[in-house]
Amino acid sequence: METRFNISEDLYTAMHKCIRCGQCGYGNEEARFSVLCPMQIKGKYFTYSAGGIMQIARAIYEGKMGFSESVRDLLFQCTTCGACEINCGIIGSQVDLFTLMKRELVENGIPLLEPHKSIVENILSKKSPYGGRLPARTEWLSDEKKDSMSSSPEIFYFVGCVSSYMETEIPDAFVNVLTKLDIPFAINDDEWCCGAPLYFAGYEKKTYDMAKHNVEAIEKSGASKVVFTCPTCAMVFKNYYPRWVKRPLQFEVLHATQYFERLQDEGRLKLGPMGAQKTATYHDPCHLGRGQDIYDAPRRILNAIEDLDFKELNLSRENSFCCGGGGLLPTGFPGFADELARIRVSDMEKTGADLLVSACPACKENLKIAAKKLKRGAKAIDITELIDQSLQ
Amino acid sequence: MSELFRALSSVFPKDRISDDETVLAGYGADGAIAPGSMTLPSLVVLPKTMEEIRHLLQIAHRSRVPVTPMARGSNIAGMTVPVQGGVVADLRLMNKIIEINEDAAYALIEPGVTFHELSMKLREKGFFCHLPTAAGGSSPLANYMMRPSGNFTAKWDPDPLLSLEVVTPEAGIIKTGSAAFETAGWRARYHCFPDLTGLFANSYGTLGIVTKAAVKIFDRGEDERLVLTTFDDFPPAMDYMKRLVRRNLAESVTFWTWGWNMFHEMMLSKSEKMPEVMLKQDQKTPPPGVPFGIASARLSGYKEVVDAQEKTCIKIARELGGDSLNNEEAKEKYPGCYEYLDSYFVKGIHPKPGEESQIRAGLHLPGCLLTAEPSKLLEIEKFMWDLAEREFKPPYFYRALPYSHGREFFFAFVVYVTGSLIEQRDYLLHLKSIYGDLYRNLLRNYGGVMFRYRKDPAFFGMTGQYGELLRKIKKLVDPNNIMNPGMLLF
Repeated sequence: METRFNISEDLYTAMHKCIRCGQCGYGNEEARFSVLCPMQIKGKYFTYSAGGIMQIARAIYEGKMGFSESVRDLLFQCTTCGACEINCGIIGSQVDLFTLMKRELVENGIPLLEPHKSIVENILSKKSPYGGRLPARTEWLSDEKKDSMSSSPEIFYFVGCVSSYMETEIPDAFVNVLTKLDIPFAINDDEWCCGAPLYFAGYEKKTYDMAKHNVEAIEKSGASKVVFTCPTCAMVFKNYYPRWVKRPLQFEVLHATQYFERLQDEGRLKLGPMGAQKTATYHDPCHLGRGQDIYDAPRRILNAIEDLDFKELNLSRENSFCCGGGGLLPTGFPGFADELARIRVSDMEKTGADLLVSACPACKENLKIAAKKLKRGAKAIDITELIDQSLQ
Repeated sequence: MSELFRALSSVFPKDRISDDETVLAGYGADGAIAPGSMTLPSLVVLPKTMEEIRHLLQIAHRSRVPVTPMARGSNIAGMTVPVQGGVVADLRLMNKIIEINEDAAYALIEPGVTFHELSMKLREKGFFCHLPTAAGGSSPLANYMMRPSGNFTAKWDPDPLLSLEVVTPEAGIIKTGSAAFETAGWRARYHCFPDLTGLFANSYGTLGIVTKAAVKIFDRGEDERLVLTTFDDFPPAMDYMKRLVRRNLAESVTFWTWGWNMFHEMMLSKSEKMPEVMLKQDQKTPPPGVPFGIASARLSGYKEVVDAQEKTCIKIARELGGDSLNNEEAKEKYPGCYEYLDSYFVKGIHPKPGEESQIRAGLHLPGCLLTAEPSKLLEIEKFMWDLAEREFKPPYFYRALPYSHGREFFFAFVVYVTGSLIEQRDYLLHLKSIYGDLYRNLLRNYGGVMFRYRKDPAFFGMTGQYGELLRKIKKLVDPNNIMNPGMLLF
């Protein structure tokens, strides 16, 4: 079959600008000696890097090779962590360019990996990446709290699939906080997947309906702010939804840490002690930090908890090392995702922390599994749960 | 599976040899390869030891298969692209810093070590290595094999190489410098016989694969400082650099024109968009209030000496109409420029984002990269401005720095191609056609020699008997011409 490669001007320019310097794999400033690109941890060849993928794009474009399952396997080992975007001095939009290549894989008839195929099918049929018999989306929400939802909400809470079905302590804690603070909120019983897994699997056009459904529900609620505990959902709303619904959004998109920081500033959120002295470290989720440039808000919150001793990680902020939870890696290459999470858990434990804090349900899940496998005592927890525990 | 793959599988375990098209694609082009001209190797191997390289070259020699060695880092000259196919030996896993000898001031390194790694290790010990403007993830060994520009070029000559270990297809393993004698160590370039380190320098992997190199390192001294001086024209800046260097006042001096300096300000602000003023038609005249160029001198040593050197630099600058700034003034007036230069010349660490970041704003193309006699450089500068005004689209600018104690100058005149490269495709091809004749004209008319060989066999042909002797040596060490034949050197 003849290869078709519909290339964007950006990708054409990027692949001819890449000088194969390898900087895309390294950190910035003091982390300049650390390899941050997960692919470079796994693959020894230069090709396992953002620069390598640029050369693959070029080779396909020049007709030296075609799209193949081997290209797919390499592309899906990218966690979309965005470290290359920060560290490459030349290009800066790698994740979108790689996603464009995934779209072309689909266009050229290269089958998805089986687990990814199921995810896409599940999203299209059940509006969630999870298969099997699923409970109701808001099953985690007690009847009492359901009653506290408002028809004129101050905020709309977009829960996200991982929180709705897997890490339900997070939305539970989030709603607890809202209830304690008397903040009227709304949740959509019929929330659909935000579309991120479809986008990262190369099916961007199929996200349009998902986006339209979610946006309409939010707008109908009348809320002027939408708050997310999942940074990936927040990132796609901010960065892609205007493109997918073909108009600007009529509401503000905020990650929970931004929202809580705002409440702190307004004096509405006062954090006290949790009840037991703990040491915590914080893992910057890739789609929150590098994806949305949110670094200070979670730190301000952690530092405000009285009996929490916050220790900064060696690789943090824009130099954060991916936990392996993103880019469909845990389903496509579970062993690799696990390897990355173990590296991150070990890094976090070096700080002496009892609590491995993140602000992303996928990160929490991946870190929790790795900590358990490593038989470590430290506990993976979401920042929202800590806020709930320390709210005065 | 090819016969070659089978043969090499006896040397390399399966996780260090690949003929997977996807893996091979990563090695098919670099910043210098024109659109549509990519070439993929047949195999990539990841050697870890000198012995593995020896076996690789024996097998490749027997099978007459090209071998292209690749270390790490920036590639903008097509030197590691296997344009005749064959095997790429990716040396990234040979990444040991074997020894740092503080007493004899050298480091013994493998090709996969990066500048980041070496400078970090040296910093812990109060030492410094010669830092060129390649990316920090580049290989010092590979870079030094090509006579780099950098922070010690004026006082120490841009040649940090001492002893080498080289594996050749036919002549086996050769150790050069003092390492030629088993008990003499790696400390020295010269002994009682001819210098073979120099034979391999600038051979671009066409004579063998360098598996170890002892490279010079420098004691940081009690004080290190930069003196930044602005000039309104190039001739006084040239005089300033010559005087500083010949009178042994500075370890390095560079002169960067206004556009280049503006790039540094842009990098500091993390902007990816070039200021409009950098794209103005008249590139010779800086915007109002901006100096034509800035010379930066690196001084180091005992504090009293550095104080005196700084005063002398200021005095010389004043005599020539330049305006020297103290560090505080420089930081305030040119913060991006200062931070960049301070990182290179004082802290001894590649700035990050570094030189490569300039490329975000456009495609960096060296219009002219050469060394020339000081007296000819003013004419070359004029020639390049005239050419640029005729043929280049803005922005374009240059930097110059003295080499070899001021006996020659390095001159880099670059043009940035901005915007979509699809729209600029014809312009890029036009530039390529100009570059074909440029270096030959510069050599013929001004005695300017290309800084690094740019795949022009006719250029090598101009070297007469020197070239003949090199060809004979090549026949001895690599009779089947398997070593990086894509360089078109032999």
